[in-house]
Amino acid sequence: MGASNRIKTPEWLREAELVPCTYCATGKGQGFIEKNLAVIASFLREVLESEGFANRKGLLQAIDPRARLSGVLMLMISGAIMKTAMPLIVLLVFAFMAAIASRVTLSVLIRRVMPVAIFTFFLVLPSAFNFISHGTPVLRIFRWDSYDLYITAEGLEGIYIFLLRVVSMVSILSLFVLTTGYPDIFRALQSFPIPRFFIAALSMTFRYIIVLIRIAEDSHLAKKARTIKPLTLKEGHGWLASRIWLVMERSVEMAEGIHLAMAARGFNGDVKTMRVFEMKGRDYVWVGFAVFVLLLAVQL
Amino acid sequence: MHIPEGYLSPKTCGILYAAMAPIWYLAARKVQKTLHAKQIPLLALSAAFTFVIMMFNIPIPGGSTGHMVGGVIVACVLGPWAAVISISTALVIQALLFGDGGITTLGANCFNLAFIMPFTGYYIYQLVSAGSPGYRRRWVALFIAGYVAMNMAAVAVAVELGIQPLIASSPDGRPLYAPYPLSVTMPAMALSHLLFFGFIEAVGTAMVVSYIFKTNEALLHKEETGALRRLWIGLAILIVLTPVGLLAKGTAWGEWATEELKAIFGYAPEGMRSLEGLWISLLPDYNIPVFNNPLLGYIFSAAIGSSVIMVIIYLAGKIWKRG
Repeated sequence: MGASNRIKTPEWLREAELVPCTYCATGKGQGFIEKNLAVIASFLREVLESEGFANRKGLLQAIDPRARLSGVLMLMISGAIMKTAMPLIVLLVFAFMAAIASRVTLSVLIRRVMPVAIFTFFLVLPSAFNFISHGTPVLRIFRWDSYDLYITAEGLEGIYIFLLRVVSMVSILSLFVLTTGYPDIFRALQSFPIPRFFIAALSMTFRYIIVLIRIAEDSHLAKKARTIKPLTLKEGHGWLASRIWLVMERSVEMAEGIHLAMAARGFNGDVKTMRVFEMKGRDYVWVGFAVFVLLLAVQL
Repeated sequence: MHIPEGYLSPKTCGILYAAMAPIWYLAARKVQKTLHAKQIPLLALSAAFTFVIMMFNIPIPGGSTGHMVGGVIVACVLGPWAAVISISTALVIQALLFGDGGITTLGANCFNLAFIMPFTGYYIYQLVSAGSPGYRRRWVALFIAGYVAMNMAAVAVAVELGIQPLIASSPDGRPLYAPYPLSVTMPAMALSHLLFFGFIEAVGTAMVVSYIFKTNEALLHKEETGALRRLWIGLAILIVLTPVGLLAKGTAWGEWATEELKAIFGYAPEGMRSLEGLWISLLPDYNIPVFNNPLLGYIFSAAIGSSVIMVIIYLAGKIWKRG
């Protein structure tokens, strides 16, 4: 084959840079497209994960969703009003025991609780020092002239209790999220004095989050596939603005279409559901247990 | 920005739920009036949109990225009252379905993100872009609206966290909830939001809403006539009420003259004395010698002050409009 027949690489393709990319998905660095795709993937994983555990046969799954939600609310209020470490430890141990009995994998529960726990730990860490919490020195960091920096017993105790409270409350909430299917959460909310239209909007919101997320994912994947050169900051902003606009435009179009479809099926603003919940003995036991814990927490 | 479970005392959570109850009620009434039967799908879709844009990372100079809340964008598209319902719905989904934020702190999160943020941003945007703004002024108005709204929400979070040691401590004085006082939470939240997160929200708001203006302006919420007029009436009432300040006795705390400082502490700092008299204003102590009456002088000074400010704003507006 002669030299004249060789395929020449176009000039624009030669300009592709294999450098850490700040604003796109190419190169060594992780740009905003890659980050957004990771966030979307993690969101979808969470949705599927919750559905998986909610369909298992376990302790919490067997309880009526209304009773489950009421009980969880009372347990969380109990956690909020407990003032000492021991009751909070008991509450945390209970949350993990309930997770095992509900056949929720502990590593999944821990993975959901850990980010808040780590964030809280680093957030409150400075409060262990004497410049925030005055008190008895436990560990002296340095002392020079009138400058004295040490960790106080009171500060450590404050961190310990605060962290226990946050971790136990977030564990209970995460356990509820993992063991309750989305339709059941919305149906359970109907038993509370919340306007019906709001619950209907909540239920639709969740369904359309999945639809809009898919649109966002598709547009990000398409951009990633077509990008060979880092975008400038202005290009990045312009592209992202156009994608956010696309999601918004689709939302408005869909809202119009859904409204017409609902009107065509006779929707007049009144929300009705097919499934009827029935409280059984174990549901009353669960609510009674949560009330008992709440009353104990008031006294502790 | 979402306050997690356990950070706020039950008292604070209860008060903020109580504060949000009438706001939710009013928002539901307003939305029902303006959106009619379309309300459920439109609110659901806008809440879904809010949820999705909260997940988007926006690139910022320096190679980093950050999340935006999108409260001002939703307020510009649906109006501030519909934004209350829409953002609250997104926050309920985040708390109940994903454990992000919290159920006990939901009232607080909605107060900060679904009430303070869209209302502040929306009305700042309306004020700065009043009249017939060009592209540049609208962009700047949206940038300012996003920036200020984010910082106002951050200040609200800082106050809610910072008052915890004051209102909920154990008998030995140890804080039971968020441990830092206002002197720590305020600068911590203010600095991070003034220097970083405020800019992300500002850029995000300006670029998305400007894009909507370019592509489909009809989609944006139209402010009913008279809303700004009501704001002006409110400001006029405040100006008329200015002399109420005369009922207060003594000087405002911290605004002491050297003689007053001497009377309180027994001495006046040397540095303050050396700087006193460096600048003599046109109307010292809001007093006008011709009237020989402090009440008249105070009212007259207030009238002059507000008139000067209005003239400056009017002139700035004229120049601004050309842009």
